[in-house]
Amino acid sequence: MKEVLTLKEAIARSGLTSGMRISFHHHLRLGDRVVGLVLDLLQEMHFADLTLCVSSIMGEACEAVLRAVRAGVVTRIETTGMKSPLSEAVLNNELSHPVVFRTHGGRARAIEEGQTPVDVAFIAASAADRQGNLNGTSGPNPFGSMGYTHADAEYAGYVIAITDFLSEEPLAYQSIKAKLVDVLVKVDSIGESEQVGGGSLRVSQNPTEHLIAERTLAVMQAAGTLKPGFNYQAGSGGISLLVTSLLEQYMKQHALQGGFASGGITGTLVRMAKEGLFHTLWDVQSFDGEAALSVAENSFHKEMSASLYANPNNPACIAHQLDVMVLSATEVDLDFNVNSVSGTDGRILGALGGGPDTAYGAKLTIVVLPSFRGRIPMINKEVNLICTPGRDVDVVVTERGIAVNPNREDLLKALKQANLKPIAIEELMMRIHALTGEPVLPGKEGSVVAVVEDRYGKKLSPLYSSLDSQD
Amino acid sequence: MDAVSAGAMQKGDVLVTISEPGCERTIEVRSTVQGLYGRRIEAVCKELLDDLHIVKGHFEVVDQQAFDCVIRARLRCAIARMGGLL
Amino acid sequence: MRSWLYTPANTPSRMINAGIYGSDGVVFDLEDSIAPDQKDEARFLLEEMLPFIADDRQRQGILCRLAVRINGLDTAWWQADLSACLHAGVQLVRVPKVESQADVHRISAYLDQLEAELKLPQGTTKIQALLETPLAVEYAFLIASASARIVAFSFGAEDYCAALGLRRKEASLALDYPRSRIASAAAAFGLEAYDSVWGFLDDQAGLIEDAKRSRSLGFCGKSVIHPNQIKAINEVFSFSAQEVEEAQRIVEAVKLTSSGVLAEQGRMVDKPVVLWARRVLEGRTQ
Repeated sequence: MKEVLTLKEAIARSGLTSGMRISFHHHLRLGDRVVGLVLDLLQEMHFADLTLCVSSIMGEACEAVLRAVRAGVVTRIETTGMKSPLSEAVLNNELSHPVVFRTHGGRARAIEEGQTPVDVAFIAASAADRQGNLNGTSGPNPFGSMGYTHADAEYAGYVIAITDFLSEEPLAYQSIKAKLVDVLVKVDSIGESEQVGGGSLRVSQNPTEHLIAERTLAVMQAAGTLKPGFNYQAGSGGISLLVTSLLEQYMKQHALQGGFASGGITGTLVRMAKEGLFHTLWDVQSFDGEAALSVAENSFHKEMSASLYANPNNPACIAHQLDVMVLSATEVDLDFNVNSVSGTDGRILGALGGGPDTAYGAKLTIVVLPSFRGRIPMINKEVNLICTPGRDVDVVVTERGIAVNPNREDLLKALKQANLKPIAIEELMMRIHALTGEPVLPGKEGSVVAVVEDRYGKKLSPLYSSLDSQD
Repeated sequence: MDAVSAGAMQKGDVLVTISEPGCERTIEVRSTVQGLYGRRIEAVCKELLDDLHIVKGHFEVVDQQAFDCVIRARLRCAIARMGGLL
Repeated sequence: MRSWLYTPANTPSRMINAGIYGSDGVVFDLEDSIAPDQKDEARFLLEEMLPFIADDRQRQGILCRLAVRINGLDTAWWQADLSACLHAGVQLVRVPKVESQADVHRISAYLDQLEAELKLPQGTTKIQALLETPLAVEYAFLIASASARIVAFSFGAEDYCAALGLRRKEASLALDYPRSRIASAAAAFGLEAYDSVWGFLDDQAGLIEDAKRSRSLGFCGKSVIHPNQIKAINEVFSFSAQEVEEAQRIVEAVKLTSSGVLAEQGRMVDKPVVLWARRVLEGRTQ
């Protein structure tokens, strides 16, 4: 029987002191209420100077972290991404140390290698049993895979599991085993399950995004990717999700059976697996309610840890077995370097996620994005933050042109033969800038507010403070 | 005379408001892409107004990422709506 | 021209991309989608944006024709609309609620004036006449013959149905007559005929059925109101691969014979069939 304490008692028991490193996952996405609960309590308990090591920060968690930063509770942040209002505060130099952006694989490696030892891990679970086993699939607020928690659970000094559903029966499906959990905390609610499951990912109606998605499918066809047993992953952006829908139609039409689909798993992918289009789903994060429940119900649906997914020290990791990866970006440059964290104007918009991991590993990496958003061009001379190095990016697909990396002559030939009319990325940029005008890119001077690390922990590129007023 | 406007507060557009037609010409630009295009937007406005020999009026340009041609269109429309008072 | 995408002429973010979705043509609308107090804004926007859009299309190698739907002759706006169009380099205007030869003469006269002012060759600006009422349908032949500027008819089913007290979705049978009459009058004068928009965006099956019906009555294309209708319409109004192949065979065979009647694959092929074949191939290379 695992001991059940209040959150305050658990923290007191954990041995946490100021200056240590704590961790959270973001599986509850926009519905998370645990991060705020814990950080506010840590502030009450007068903790200070903590390092926050999270898989990502979004929704209300961003506000909670900002409160903690302003109160001096948190002074260092290590994450794959963040959103407003935390991102603005970071750009305004409110954090005393630069934020460190890592990929999902890089984070797992850093924890396992001891580069970023986690002292106390706060792991929210939608259900726990009396032994202390955890899952994300039972209870009133299921969120599915607990992929981002495995490294924390296995390597953290102390693991506090937080749940709103304590099962008297042993859990049939167990993501985290009891032996990794030090103590259980029961709360009224870990989050809003509607916001966890749905809302953020809707299939787009945008005709420009449809056009790009159709072209992307055509690129995959021309490149010879769509063969029996191919392994597929797409990101969570609107266009990427559309590509997956179009792929479903294509695969059904051509009776094509793929290998595995991986990454963030959606109800669409679950349906495709049920239809026999993929034999396995490798799930590091469940994106909707259907996927969340499927993890426990379907044998083809397998939970994977961030380490199994993308740890670069594991050459057989799932990311390295991909035939194709479709990902979005905030901007791309003439060397095919991809930025997915900050915009052309330097504002923090998104996340590294698993992009650099999968771009490295996939045989074909396709970046999909519109040529401009508003007036902001998506292709520029230089990205203001290198997140995925250009050598790992093969094709860029926009609604105004397709560009192939010169280091892939084979692809260039194949796309030309398929009459997809690829053009040089310089010409694509010129087409776009002819509409938007050439932007005055933010300068690279001033204080460094964030640093992007590559998968191995090496510093890749710095993000500078933007002290220009924006309006 | 009251201020006159043209355009809209919608993405890809610009809202131009002309007031104080009797005063020396001033141009005030506010844009959601101030860093990337702020100076350029001002230059586009100035060039158009110079071409039309307009030396009076307070021009407020609230930009939501409009292309140059859209800015010019909205400016010209607002000026036309002023009906020769500039 | 198989498909025309309507786009409101006062929304820059939509106008810049109107031509990239694969329709054969785009109609920038100054009429129903623009509020009365924004008509002047839209005119200035057309003048400034059209050359910009044309350059963008040229860079991408997109061949998409442009038309502007002006306001009707019963409004105070149509002349200013035409003036803005010609200043913007527009060569094709779609005129709503054309009901008589007199309507056509009125527009044509004003266009003569504008073209002279702008030193354009007379007759440069062409007209697509929107026939939307029972009267217009009855006068279709006269309207078609009223001016050399008329190059096409476009059918407005919504207004027509309203005039007959019918609901659009239930009017399929009732629309056969106006469609036939319009297609026939168009054919008599070598005009193209475009069918009416289908406003029920959730009903893709209805769209295709409506389009197929109009095609079988002689229409060569249809207007659409959303990019996701384009693919289906292009398909309905395209010649199939077999038809193109057959047309090619016929035209090749004609080259080899001196008489007007020939035998092709064991059957008699006379002049109308040859004309059909030529038309198919012309449509193909559009």
